[in-house]
Amino acid sequence: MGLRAPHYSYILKHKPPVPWFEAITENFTGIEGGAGGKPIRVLEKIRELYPVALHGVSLSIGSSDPLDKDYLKKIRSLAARIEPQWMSDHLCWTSVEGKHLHDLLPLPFTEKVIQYLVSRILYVQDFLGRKILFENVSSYMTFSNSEMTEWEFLSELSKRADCGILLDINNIYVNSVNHGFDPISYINGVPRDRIGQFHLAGHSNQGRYLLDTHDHPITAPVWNLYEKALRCFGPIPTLIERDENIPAFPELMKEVHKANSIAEKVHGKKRISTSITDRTPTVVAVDHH
Amino acid sequence: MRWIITEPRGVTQALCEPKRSGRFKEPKPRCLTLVYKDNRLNQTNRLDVYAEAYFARLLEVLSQDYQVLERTMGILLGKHAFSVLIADYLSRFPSQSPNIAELGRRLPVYLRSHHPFGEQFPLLSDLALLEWASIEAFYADDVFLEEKIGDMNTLAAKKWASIRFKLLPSVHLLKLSWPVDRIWKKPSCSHELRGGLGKESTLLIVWRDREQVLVERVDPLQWKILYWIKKGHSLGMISKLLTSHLRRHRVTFDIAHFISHWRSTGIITH
Repeated sequence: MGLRAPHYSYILKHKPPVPWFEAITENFTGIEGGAGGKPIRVLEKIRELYPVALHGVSLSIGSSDPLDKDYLKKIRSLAARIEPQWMSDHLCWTSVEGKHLHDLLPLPFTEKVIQYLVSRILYVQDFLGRKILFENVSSYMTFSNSEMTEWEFLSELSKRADCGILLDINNIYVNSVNHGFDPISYINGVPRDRIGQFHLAGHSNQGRYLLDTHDHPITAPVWNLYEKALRCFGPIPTLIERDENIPAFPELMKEVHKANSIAEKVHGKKRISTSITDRTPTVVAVDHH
Repeated sequence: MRWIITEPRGVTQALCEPKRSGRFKEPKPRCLTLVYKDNRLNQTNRLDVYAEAYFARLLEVLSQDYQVLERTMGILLGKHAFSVLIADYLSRFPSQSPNIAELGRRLPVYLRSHHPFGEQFPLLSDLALLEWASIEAFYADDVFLEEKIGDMNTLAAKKWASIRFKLLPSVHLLKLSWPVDRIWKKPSCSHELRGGLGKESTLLIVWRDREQVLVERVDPLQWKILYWIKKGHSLGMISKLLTSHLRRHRVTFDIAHFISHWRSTGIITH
């Protein structure tokens, strides 16, 4: 489950039976002049109880700007402190000319962009001393100069950069509606051995397009696609995300139970990965340098 | 294309009024042709999703960081005033940090020096300063140093004079011209704001006690002592400065009294 501030006290008090939590990396890197405070204290307490994954939103791997070394040092330092099971970020750009948009902006799907990203991902993985999962983002526009589908782009990139894929099932569905493709083709088109994690979330219907708002319960088409993804990729550790209209923790647990019941239906109880520690990730190194 | 996505007014308005700022020079057709065209949603509307999300997201973050400022501006200037301020602020100071928590760092200075709202109501920039100090206190590093000096009353004079204390990283000393701590502590005092909050020199310390950010008024003497502690002066030096600058007597007694209080509240350490 995604670790969110309204749930901190509940988690620490009740220690709910959740196999792992995912924390947004940048929420715990501090600000200029202070890298501590309440956020990191809470994360360290939770880390004592649960495995934690760090999920970044500002790596800006697709930006034309040089990689931000200070930022990389900060997340490397955080990783040394927290010892996350996984580290991930998004396949997108979030900044240009030193200005940050704090949004996950889409990339053109071209060979030239793949070449550009491969060198940057290899550098980041080398700098952090571990492999990273990259998440497919939701989008509302594509580029007229794209040369391939999103899933072809993702597949080729993950192979050449030797990185993992964090497959967001909701984002696949949102994009399939916004750009008019078959989401099953997407699922069938990405390499099995690269998938390290699934994300599930809710979206909102804006009439002419779907918006990836993470403010609603997961919709039926996304649950259906999740089931198909489980059949295709096997028992992949799955995360429920909620960033707005965050309900009480027990309410959110209902979605966790639903995800578990679908996984049980597909793979049977014994095959279900209930913890990231009981599934050896095929593409994620956890050694620290 | 980036100026369109980052334009707080939205894509349509940016395209209609591209001359609002001198930096908007990219012609309309070039950027829009980069967006794939289909019959679900036109190119402008697709870009607009990002433009609206950009401003809405950053406004939401700054609303959380500056809750009291937003409420106060609502009372003094109307309910959209804060949004107007933020649109102007983002145009002048777009985010330059990967951490969105840094976004509001320049808002107090922007309000004081660059925005008509700050000129009209100078207390707003003081209020913004206080709210930003509370954010810095929230994120400040924790320091756990062992207190080794024990009871200061039993120390020999020479040793006492050589002692240097440190402010905890979360401590901020604020010298303000308006009593904005009253608004911060009681944000609903709208009648007081409407009646006009009088200008009043206000000295504050802001710090974090475990997980709670606290604000306390101090008198000029206390503020000076804390300031000199922050500068790294020993108690002996602070004693001399107090005697010469403020022409006070019995300064040792004053210092010992305050030091004892601040050690008990945990804002200074040895």
